Amino acid sequence: MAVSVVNLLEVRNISKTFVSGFLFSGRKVVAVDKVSFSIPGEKPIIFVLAGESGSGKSTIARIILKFIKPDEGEVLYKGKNIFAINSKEDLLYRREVQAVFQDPYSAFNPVYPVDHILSITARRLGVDQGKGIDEAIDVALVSVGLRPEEVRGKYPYQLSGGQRQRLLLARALIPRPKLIVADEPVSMLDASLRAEILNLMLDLKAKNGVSFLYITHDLSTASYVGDHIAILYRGSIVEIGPIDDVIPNPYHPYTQLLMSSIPQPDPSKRWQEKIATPEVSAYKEQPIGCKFYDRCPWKKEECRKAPPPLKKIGNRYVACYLY
Amino acid sequence: MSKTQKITKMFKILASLRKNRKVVFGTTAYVLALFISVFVLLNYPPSSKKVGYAEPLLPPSPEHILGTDILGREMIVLLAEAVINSTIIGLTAASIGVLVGSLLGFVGGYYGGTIDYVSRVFTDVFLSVPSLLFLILISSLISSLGKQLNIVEVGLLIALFAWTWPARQVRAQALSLKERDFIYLSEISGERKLEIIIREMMPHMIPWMTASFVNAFMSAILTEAGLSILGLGPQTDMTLGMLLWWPLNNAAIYRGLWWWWIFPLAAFIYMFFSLYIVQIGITEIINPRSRVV
Amino acid sequence: MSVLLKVEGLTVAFEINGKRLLAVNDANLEIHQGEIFGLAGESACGKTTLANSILRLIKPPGRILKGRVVFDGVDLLSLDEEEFRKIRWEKIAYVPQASMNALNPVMRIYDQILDVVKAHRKDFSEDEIRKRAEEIFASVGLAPDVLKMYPHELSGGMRQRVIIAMSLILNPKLLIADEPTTALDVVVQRGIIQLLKEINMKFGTTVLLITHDMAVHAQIVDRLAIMYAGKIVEVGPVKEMFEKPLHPYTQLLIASIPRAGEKRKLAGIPGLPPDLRNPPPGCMFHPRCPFMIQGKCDRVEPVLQEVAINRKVACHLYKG
Repeated sequence: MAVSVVNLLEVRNISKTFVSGFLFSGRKVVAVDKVSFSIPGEKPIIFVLAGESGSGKSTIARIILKFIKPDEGEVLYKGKNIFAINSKEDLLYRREVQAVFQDPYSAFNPVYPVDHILSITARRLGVDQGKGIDEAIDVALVSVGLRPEEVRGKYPYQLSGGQRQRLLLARALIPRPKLIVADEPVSMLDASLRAEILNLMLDLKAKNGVSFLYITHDLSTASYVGDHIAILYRGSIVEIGPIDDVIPNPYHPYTQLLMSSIPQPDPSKRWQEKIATPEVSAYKEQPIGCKFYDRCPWKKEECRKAPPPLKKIGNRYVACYLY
Repeated sequence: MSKTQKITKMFKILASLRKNRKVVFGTTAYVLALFISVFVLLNYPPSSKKVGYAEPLLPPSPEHILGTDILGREMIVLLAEAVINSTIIGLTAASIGVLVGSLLGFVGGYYGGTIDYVSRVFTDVFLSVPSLLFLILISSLISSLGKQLNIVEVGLLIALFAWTWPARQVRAQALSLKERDFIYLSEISGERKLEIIIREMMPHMIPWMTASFVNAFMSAILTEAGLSILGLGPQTDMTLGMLLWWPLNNAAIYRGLWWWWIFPLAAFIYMFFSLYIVQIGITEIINPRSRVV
Repeated sequence: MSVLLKVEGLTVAFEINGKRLLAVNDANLEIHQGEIFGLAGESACGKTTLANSILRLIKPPGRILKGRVVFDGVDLLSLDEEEFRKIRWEKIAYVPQASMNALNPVMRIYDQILDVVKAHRKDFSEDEIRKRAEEIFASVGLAPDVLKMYPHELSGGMRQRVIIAMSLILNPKLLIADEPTTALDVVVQRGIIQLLKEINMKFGTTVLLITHDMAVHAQIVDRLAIMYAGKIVEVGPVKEMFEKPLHPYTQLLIASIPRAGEKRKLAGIPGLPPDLRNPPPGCMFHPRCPFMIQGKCDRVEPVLQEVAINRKVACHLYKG
C-alpha cells in the first residue's frame, strides 16, 4: 500500500491474542483482529476509537504505546515501524506520542508528590531549547488551567479528580507531543468536570496543534470532541469514517445498536422499543463468519461463512454484507 | 525532587515507623538489651568467660550478680555474650535471607515467564521442606564430620531457608506493582527500566521487606535456640540457645540450680518478644497502608 | 397518590479526626407509591449515604443525627433491629453500588438465593423458593439454567440481572438501586434500565433510582431530585426539570451533558464542590453560583420550598 502523504500514525493489520488459564486448558482470546486505521498528519485531528468492553480498544492503545507487541502487523509512526527503531528514535517516539489514562488517582505513585513524574518527564524527554525544567513544567501546568502554586509539592490524595486529570494532561504536554493517546480520560470524572477536560482537549488541538487518539465507550463525549471515528466490535473495526457522518447516520448494525442504546438526556426522547438482543457471554467461541451475527437483526446466510471485509461506501468504510 | 525534598521524604518514611508505638517500644527494648550487654562486657575482665574463673555453680550474690555456671564462668557475662552472638546470627541470617530472597522473588515476579516458573518451583520446594528437620540433619552431619560451627556459619546455615518467605512476599509485590498505572506512566515518561524498579517500585516493597527482615530475624533466633538445645549449636561460642543447652544438659532444674536456667530463659523470652512487638507494629503500618508509603 | 416513603429532616454526620461533616443535611423527600423516583448528584453529594440511612446501614464514624424515615406510616429509624429485619428485603430491597461483584464466587447462584431467602423467611419450602426463583428469573430475562451457574460464568449484565432478581424475590414494595449501571456497557445498560421500568410497570414496584447519570434519569424516572453537598436542592417531574431547571446547579449540570450528534459548546461548573468539614456559610452552592446574591446567599441557607405545583427548590432566587 503506497502512502503518498505520510500519516502521523498508521496501524496496519495488527492482531493480538491472549492466552489465559493453565498450560493445557488455556483459553485463547483474540483481543485485536487485523485492525488497520491511520491518523493523518496534515492538521491536528481527534480520532476516536470507540467500543465497549472486550472490543480490544485498550489493547490497541497498549500496542501503540509499546507496552505490548502485536502478534502480527505493524504500527508506523511517521512512516517508521515503532517496534523496529533504535533507542534514540525510541526516545523521539516517546516525546511525540504521549498518553493520558483513565484513572487519575492510580496514575500517580502515591509515595511521591505529583511534581515527581513531571520532573522526570521534563528531564528524560527533554524540554524546549533554553527553558529550565521548572519553567517547562510551569508552562505546561498553566496551559491546562492549573496554577503551579496549587499543585506543586502536593501528594495525589491532596488533589481532586479534576486536578489530577489536568495534571496528567500537563505531563503529557511537557515534551511537546504531536499525538496524545487518551484512554477513557473522562470516564471517572463527574459530568460537570468532563465538559472542562473535553473543552481543554479541543483547546489543545486548536492552539497547541496536538492530535488525540481518544479511546472511549461513550459516544456522546466522542461526538463532542471527535473528528473521525472507528467503531470496534470484538477486536475488529466494523465502521470507520468522519464523525459527523457516522454518528447521525450509522451504517453498520452494531453502530446502529450502539447509537440507539445511548440514553438521551431528554425525557421527551425516550426509548420506544425494548431491546431484544441477547448478551454475549465472555467465553463464547470465536465465530467463523461475521462476529456480530448472533445479535444482528439483518443476518443472512452469507454472514456466517466469512467475516465481511471493510468496504468503502461514500466517505466511510463499513464491514457488512448489507452494503 | 530537590535534595532537601529527598531527605524530607526519607525522614517521612522513618517518621511513619517512629510514630508507631509498638515499633518504637520493641526496638528500644531490644537495643537496650544490646547496650546493657556491651556495657557488661566492657566492665568485666575477659577471664570471666573462661573456665575456672570463679567457683562453679554459685547462686547469685553481690560478687556474682547472676551466679556462676558449672564451669565457674560468670553468668552475667555469658548472658551478655549470648545476646550479642544471637543478634549476630539473627542479623546474618535475616540480611542474607531478605537480600537473596527479595532478589529472586523480584526477578521472578517482574520478568514472569520461564524465569518466574523456575524461581517459583525452586522457592516452593524449599518452602515445603520442613526446614528445622533439614537443618538438624545438616548440622548433625557437619558435627559428625568433626567440624565445629562458629556463629557466622550458623547464621549462614539458617539463611539457607530464611530466603523463602521474603522471596514469596516480594514476588507477589512485584507482580502487582508492575501492572500499576503509575509504572506504565513512568515508562512513557522516559524513565528507564532500572530507574523504575529502584525509584518507583522499591518504596512500595520496602515495608514488606522490613517485615520479612524482622520475621527472619525472629525465626533465626528461634531456630538457633532449637538447634543448640539439641546440641547442634556452635558449642564453643555462647548464644541464647547454648545458654539453654548447658543447664538442660546438666539436669539444672532437677538439681535446683535455678539461676542457671531462669536467667537464660528470661533473656530469651525478652529478646524474642521485643522483636515480636516490632513485627506487630510493622504489620500495623502495612495494613492498612498509611498514606505515605 | 399515596406516599410510600417520606424522609423528613434527615441529617447524617461523619466524625473524622475530630472534625464533623454533614454528609446528608436536613434532607426532605417524598416518594409516591408506584413511581420511579430518581436521585441525582455528583460524587460525594450524599445520595448513597441517604440510601444507606433508609436501610439503617450507617455505621460509625457515621451517625444519624436527626430525622425520620417514614415507610408505609412507620418511622423506620424508631424500630428495633428485629422489627426492621422484617422490613429489609421483604418490603424494601436494596441493590447497592457494585453489588454485582459481591456475589459469592464459590457458590452457585441458586444456592446463594436459597441462603438469602432462608435468612429472611424460614417458612418458605425449598420447592416454593425454586419456583419463585424461576419465575423471577424469567421476568428479568434470565434463563432458568443460570441458577446452576457460578458468578464468573456470567457477564456483568447478567450478574446485575441476578442481583435485581434476588432483590425482587420477596416481592418488595420499594426497590432502591444505587448506580445499577455504572461499569456496564451502554447496550447492557439499556437492558438494565428498561428492566427497571418493566418491573415498575408489571409489578407496581416503587423504584428509587440513584445515579449521577442524568441521561439515565431522563429515560425512565417520573420525578427527580437533585442533591448537592448533602442537601436536596431541587425536586420535580422529570420533564419539567430538564426543560426548565430552576436551581442554578441543576441548570449548569444539565448544560454540561454532551448529547451525541450535538456540537453545542459544553460548559462545566467552575470551582470545586465544598469541603464539608468547612462548609461555606449560607447556601452550599453560592461560591460557584453565577446568580449569587451578595449579602443573602452567602449568609442565609435557602430552604427547600414548593414554588409551583410539584416543584420544590432550595434557592433564594425563588419565592415559595
